[in-house]
Amino acid sequence: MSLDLLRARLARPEPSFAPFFMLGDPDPGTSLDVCRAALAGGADMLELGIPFSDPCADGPSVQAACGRALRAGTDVATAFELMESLRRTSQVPFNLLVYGNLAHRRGWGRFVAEASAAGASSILVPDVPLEEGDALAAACADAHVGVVHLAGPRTDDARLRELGEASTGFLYLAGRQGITGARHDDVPQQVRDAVRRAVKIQPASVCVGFGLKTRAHLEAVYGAGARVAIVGSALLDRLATHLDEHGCPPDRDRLLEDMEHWFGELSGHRPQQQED
Amino acid sequence: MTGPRTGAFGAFGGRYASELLRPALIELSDALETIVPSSEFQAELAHELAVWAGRPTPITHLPAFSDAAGVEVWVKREDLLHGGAHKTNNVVGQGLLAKRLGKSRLIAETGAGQHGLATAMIGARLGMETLVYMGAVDVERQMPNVRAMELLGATVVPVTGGAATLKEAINEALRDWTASVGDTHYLLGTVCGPDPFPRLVRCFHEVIGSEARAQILDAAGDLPDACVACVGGGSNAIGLFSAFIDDENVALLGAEPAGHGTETPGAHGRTLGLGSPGLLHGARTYVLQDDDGQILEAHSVAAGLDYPGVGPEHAHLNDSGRARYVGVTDTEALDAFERLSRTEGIVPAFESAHALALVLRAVTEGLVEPGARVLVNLSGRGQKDLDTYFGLRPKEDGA
Ligand SMILES: Cc1ncc(COP(=O)(O)O)c(C=O)c1O
Repeated sequence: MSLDLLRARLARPEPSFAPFFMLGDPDPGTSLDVCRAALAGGADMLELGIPFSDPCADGPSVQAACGRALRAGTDVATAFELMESLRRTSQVPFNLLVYGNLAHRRGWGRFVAEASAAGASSILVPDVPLEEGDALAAACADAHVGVVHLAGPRTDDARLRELGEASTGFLYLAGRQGITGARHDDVPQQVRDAVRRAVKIQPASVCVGFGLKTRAHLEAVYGAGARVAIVGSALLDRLATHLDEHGCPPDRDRLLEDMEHWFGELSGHRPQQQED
Repeated sequence: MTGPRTGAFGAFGGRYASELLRPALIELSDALETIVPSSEFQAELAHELAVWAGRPTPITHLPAFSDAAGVEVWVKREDLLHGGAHKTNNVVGQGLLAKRLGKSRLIAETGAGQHGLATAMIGARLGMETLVYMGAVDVERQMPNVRAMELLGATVVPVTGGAATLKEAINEALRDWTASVGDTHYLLGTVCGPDPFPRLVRCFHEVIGSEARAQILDAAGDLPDACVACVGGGSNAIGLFSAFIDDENVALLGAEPAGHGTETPGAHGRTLGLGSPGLLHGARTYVLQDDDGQILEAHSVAAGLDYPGVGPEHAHLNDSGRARYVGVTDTEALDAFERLSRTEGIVPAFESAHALALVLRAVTEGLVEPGARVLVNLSGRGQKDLDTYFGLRPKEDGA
């Protein structure tokens, strides 16, 4: 079962690098190839989103990715099929990111069962807070899928504990207050402090996302105790540089080569492995 | 199903928002329970509504319109409120509250531009930086309001993407607020959004219903048989309905935008009539969506009604049967817009014209008895809509 893959991964001594992709972006076929390039480049986990019409918690990069995937005809069933194809050849944990309405529409039980069958290890629903999450939690418990809760820099200690205790997958700590998006500067001290605080006062493994872009960023949050670091918007931006004005990749091979190379850098595999 | 844990209206409402917004929503919810009811705040609010916004607004009997409709029609004149629409009630309340909470910046979404205009007005009055998100399509069709917002010192940010209307403007305001909660208040303009917004906005519009109830009792000697209002997010409607919900003999009727007609998805905004329960903008409510749960685009000639969601309290009033929601097409709304202008000397907003159009059909559809007394919320004036109107119905030569 996929939750066991996540548990085993988190139990290892080294932290995990997890790129984020929107399933079906820029089109279902390329999406699959890009995810495979990430796995080939050394991704330890994948965070996979299902495109939604109104991603209110996301910045321009993820919005654009949703738009591309939806325009290419990615519905929820297609997204699950893509995930299932990846699962057939990969044993890394998949964290599924989905806006509440897509799961609510199918019904929590059916949605989570389908996600589990497609290979999801855990699920994060950014617009369903703990208070409204009973149905999600029950469905996840039934399907042996981990629940991931989001916390942020303004989350107080008591709440952080509550969220961590309810997170059967891991706790997703937003590195900064705001929506998703890449940044260029260093990981600020506050983020490192927030990670240390979260590691200290709550039981779940801490994953950091929002604004990470370089291997140095990842090392900074690993150093503070994060077990997982997610790079999202920066990857989507890089992907977008390979697309024409219609969102199509004119040179797919170059796209995949470039992405795989970058995954190697981010995962820390590329420079080290080549030097060994 | 059992309702949401926080801010439920029956099976609807709730606080389906990012954890990152939770501290701000709790702060606001606490303020609604402690600051808002305090006599000090209420006195300040009442004073500002009277001397700056021009409350109370009158009710007006419409003889010619009554003849045409076959019922006795009274309108609550929110078009006479400062700014030209009911939206001002809410911005005075939330503006004063934001000030008390120590915020220095206001952000808002707007469709028709009325709420953006009202927010720009209160921002100027209270000396707060104001930024308004507005769909690029709405910027085009409500240009007079855009100019006025800029004159008042607000920044108007056109939002592209999707249908580039109200839904996209709310998305963008929520994104801004997620990053800016420390110094910024999101002055949401209707009874949508995560708890406590549906309760908060309702509370500041209850003045419409409480005034109108006393006024009609005074002028007509009895309660109305029906209250009618247009429903975009539903704030002017809740404001009127709130004073009559417990009066079982008063029918509550909401006019939803049927746009170009309801056969085609994307051509209308009949959220309650044709939507289904979903999660949008922080609440469980009726939404227009496809089988997967992707939100559909809405359409209405009235920018303020052009929204694929609706306030959760309306979802509850609909399901409980207490209120009924009926579709009104663009054409019917424009006809009512002309009729009110020509026969009563009042130019209504396209939004309000939907409510008036519903009154014209109410007897034939069996919604009210012939001769019934009907109280309509005239939620705003129509100056903002003149360009669109003359674009759609050019003046005939020689007329
Ligand atoms: C005059 C007028 N009436 C009605 C509405 C619709 O909003 P609500 O349904 O919240 O009253 C608007 C919104 O912009 C408006 O400007």
